[in-house]
Amino acid sequence: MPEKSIFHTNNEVIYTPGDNLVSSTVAEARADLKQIVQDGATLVVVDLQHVTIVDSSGIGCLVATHNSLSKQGGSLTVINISAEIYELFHLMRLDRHFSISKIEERGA
Amino acid sequence: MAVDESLEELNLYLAESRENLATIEPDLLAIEEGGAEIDEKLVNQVFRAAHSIKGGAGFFGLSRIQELGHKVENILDMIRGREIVPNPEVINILLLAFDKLREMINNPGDSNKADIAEYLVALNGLTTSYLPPEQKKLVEKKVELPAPSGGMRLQVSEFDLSRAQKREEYVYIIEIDLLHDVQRRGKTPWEAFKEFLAGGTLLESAFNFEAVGTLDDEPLTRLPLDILFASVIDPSFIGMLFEGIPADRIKMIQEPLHPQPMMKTQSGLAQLVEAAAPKAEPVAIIETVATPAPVVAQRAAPQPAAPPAAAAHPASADQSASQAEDTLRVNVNLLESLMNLAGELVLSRNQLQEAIQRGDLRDVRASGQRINLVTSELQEAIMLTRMQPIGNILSKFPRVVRDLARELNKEIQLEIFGREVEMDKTLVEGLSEPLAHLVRNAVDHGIEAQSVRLARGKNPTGRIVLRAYHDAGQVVVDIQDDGQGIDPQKVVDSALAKGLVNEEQVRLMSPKEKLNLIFLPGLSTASNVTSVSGRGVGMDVVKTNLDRLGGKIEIDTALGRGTTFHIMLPLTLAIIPSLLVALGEERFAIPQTNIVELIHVPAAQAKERIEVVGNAEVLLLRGKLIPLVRLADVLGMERTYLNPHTNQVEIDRRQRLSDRRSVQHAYFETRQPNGVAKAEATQRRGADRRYHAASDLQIVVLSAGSLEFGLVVEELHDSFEIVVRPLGRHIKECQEYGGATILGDGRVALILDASGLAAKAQLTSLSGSARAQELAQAANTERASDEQTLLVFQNAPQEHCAIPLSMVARVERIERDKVEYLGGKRTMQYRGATLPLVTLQDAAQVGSVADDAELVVIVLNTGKREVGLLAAAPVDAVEAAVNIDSSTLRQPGIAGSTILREKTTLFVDVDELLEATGWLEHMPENAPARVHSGSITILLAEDSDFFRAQVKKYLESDGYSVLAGEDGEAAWELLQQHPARINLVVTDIEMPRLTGLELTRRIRQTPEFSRLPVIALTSLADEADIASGKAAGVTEYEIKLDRENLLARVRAQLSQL
Repeated sequence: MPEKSIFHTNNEVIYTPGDNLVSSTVAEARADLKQIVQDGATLVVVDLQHVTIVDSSGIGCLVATHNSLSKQGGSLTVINISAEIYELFHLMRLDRHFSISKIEERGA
Repeated sequence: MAVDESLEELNLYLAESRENLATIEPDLLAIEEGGAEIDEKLVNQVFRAAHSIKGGAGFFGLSRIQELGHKVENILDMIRGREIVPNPEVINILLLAFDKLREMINNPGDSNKADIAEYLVALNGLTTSYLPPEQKKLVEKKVELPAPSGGMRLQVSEFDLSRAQKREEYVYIIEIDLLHDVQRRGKTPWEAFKEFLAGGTLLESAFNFEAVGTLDDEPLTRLPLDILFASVIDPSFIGMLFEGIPADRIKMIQEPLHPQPMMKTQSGLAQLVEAAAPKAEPVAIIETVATPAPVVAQRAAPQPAAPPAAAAHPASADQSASQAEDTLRVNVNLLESLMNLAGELVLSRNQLQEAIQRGDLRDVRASGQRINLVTSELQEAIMLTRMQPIGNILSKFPRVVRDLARELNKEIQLEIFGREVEMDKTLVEGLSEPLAHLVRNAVDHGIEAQSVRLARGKNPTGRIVLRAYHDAGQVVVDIQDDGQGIDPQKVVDSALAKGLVNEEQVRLMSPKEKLNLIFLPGLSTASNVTSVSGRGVGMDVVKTNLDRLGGKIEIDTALGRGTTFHIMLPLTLAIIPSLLVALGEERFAIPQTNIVELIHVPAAQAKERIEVVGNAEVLLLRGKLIPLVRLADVLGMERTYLNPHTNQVEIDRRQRLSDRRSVQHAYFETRQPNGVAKAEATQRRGADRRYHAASDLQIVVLSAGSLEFGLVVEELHDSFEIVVRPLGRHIKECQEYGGATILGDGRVALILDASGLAAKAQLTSLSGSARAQELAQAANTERASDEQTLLVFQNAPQEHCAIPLSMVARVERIERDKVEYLGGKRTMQYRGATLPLVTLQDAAQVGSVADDAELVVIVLNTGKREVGLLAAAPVDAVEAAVNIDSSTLRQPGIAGSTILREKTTLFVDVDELLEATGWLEHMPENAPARVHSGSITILLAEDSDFFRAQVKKYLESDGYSVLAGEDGEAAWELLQQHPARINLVVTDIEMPRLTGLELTRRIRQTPEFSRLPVIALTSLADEADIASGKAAGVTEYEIKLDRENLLARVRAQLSQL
């Protein structure tokens, strides 16, 4: 299993979960993201390169992160999304709220 | 849904979509042509096709296809509603979008990664730019709908809503809790959405972000998503689609204009899809099991998995290249009749088994007959399932022609006839590529630029006609253009420049052969190479592809007026007429289409007819050299022959085909050591030894592309219709075989592949060799001597007789008791009339036809009345230089004698014979002709005494006076002695001193005679001869000894004076 990683650049934090974002694993990601937001990050990038499945709680986790960041004037970017998940986010119009991208590039 | 089941449905969807796409293109072009005059039926048709593509795509999660399909559908809807005028730009964008759809459907796995942004932009651009202002407002005007979950309001354009209404769709607003309604039911959101999209379109969706809260608000209890959904499914059934979502959270907010009660009896997702995708006529889709080998002339053995048509043209630049499909649409009625036949077959088998058990021979026979009948019907029905209308591939050409014509700035009108002509699926697919090439050529090279056309006084709009039709058990496809035609000289120049042929070869070519040079690899006549065609490859590929399909191609062209390519193809490949040949114990089948002719070389002639050029043996055939291949050698089998004395198969030791078998044969040495061998050998050395049938050569002349070669086999059997089976895996790579078949007696025969054999034997064409040219020269000079085709028959035993074949209408074998004697005349009933019969004995002092001989009637061509000449078999046609001795054996009815095949043969004078028997007087049309009686004089120049006498007699019998000279010079002198008397000249061509052509030229150059009609007599005229004759001033050509035609020509010419 790939390792999760948290990488700080000068103005953003890149979080790469090591596992799928599903109900059994989402708690860890949620805790990590909460910590990152609490540490005062405003620009958070979630890199889904190791993620193939996102279930409802996974979506909930991302939405909650978005909500937390918006409150403190920050924004969420999700990158390296598999085609299927990208499609799903697009259908749910999540792309209207935070930037999502399939390839390795920052939305900002 | 089980995996394989859904895979099957996906395949079904893809196949159906491909079909839909195939019909869209011509429809769109027709819509474009119609312009503002909208043909609603047509637009609806395209709309429905796009709609079902979209609908299915949603079901299978092919979201990009769905998205693009949706946009396209919108445009079509606007065209239907006369909101957009389908001008070329609009249609262009639609065509491109459909191309993209096709590409994605051909590659469904990657379709969701495909980039369709530019298409969407273009289509959106159309929607907004073509919308009338109030509509534009609709697009921009958003309606806000309250979210049932209490979150953000849903925004949707009024345009989308009104469109859904027009599409007879209900619009629902649904609140989904991703946690309760999806996750708790063990589904991922993706799976859930895929299901939803199968039943309709998502207009809008929005998360209730507030309900989710932030990361600090733990734990997450609900995840509400509000969606706006349009679907044809009515409210009483929508719950099935949104399984598990409480009914109170599904609200219908808009009804269709005309709600229709539907879906009452259906349930389940598959049906939902069906409801979304309107169905056409009832059809079933059948997976074709391992394509039954269209192997006829295919070099490589077929891959059972991939239809060979696909292998024949792999990567094609043409994006619309039709994909060789592995499914087949079959009419349900046909399928049912197949089922019935299968049932009957089982029934018959049961009857047969029972009959065999009872030992009841009568019943066995009866059920045998029944099975025979059912099998033939079954075969026919199954063949029908493979039959596809050729329209499937023709329909792509309007687009191809339109696009090319635009690119090249030409105006071209394409007409297609015979779309309904059906032929084997494999053939239809294999034909696609060659046809596309020819059509492209016609557009690019055939049709001239508009300015050129105008300058030539032609209609500036070029015309290309594609025509498919049945002709003599074949399918013919014509590609006709009214362009500039092909100049054979240009083709020749190009071939010479590229070193593909040499001047000497060209000199001997007929115009047709010159044209056929364009099928040589590496030849292109277009002086400037364009992107469209003329890359120097092509026509040879066309030819190779057609050869592979067992087809032929011919060119008809007229400079400045256009070109027509005729493609001739068999109807089907799975069952083909074939000739069976034998080699030792083995039997082989040769497809009839590859066979040019069968030649039997008697042992006695082997030496003269078979030569050795280099180290290859060749057959001399009418002045051509045909390379010979021994089947046994190519296949690596032992050469054998049937020993005529023992009826056993023996090893053949001859080195050359023309060698005679050695007396020191193993047979004599080993098995008959005690003097018998010697006795027999001595006997065999006698005169008849060479004539033994077993030493005769059986040669099958085959054509493999442009190459003709002779295949020496041991025995020729009958011709059969054989069912082609693919070769087994281990011998699939053997290029000399095209497949296998099972013969009536249960044995297997391999099917020989002509081009494979030629390649294996490393044959090359000999047409360029020195010897070939020498022969061609010889043939030319030989033509000078009067070569005639004669029919040889027997009268009394050993009394060999001959008549010119041109005087024979037919030869029929008859029973002796068919001959009737009535009123002192001999007649027989023939084709519903009475045929008068004569024998040679009626006129001449000859023997009579032997009582035990096999009787034949030679039906003679004598004008309106047919007369039969009774003779004895065998009859044979012989080509020979006739040198007639018209004195030794001359008598009434016998013009003289000649030596044919080392036998003295009596040459029958048909006119004398008929005159003597009194039948000639009954010829009605002779009477009026005699009116001329001597007032008209014809000058005849002919060096052969025999022919001169014959022709003179013909002419005199019609009442003309004839002055005859024994060569051109003599005739010229006669003409000058009687300048005023002569009304017409009939001349032979090849004569000593002054030839017929020189005589003609001299006549034309003398003012006094220049208007004199000249009829040239020839034994065999080809196009080149006729052309040079016409150039010299010959008025007409006529075949020697064709009395009726000659007289008709003479009369026609005289009547014009």
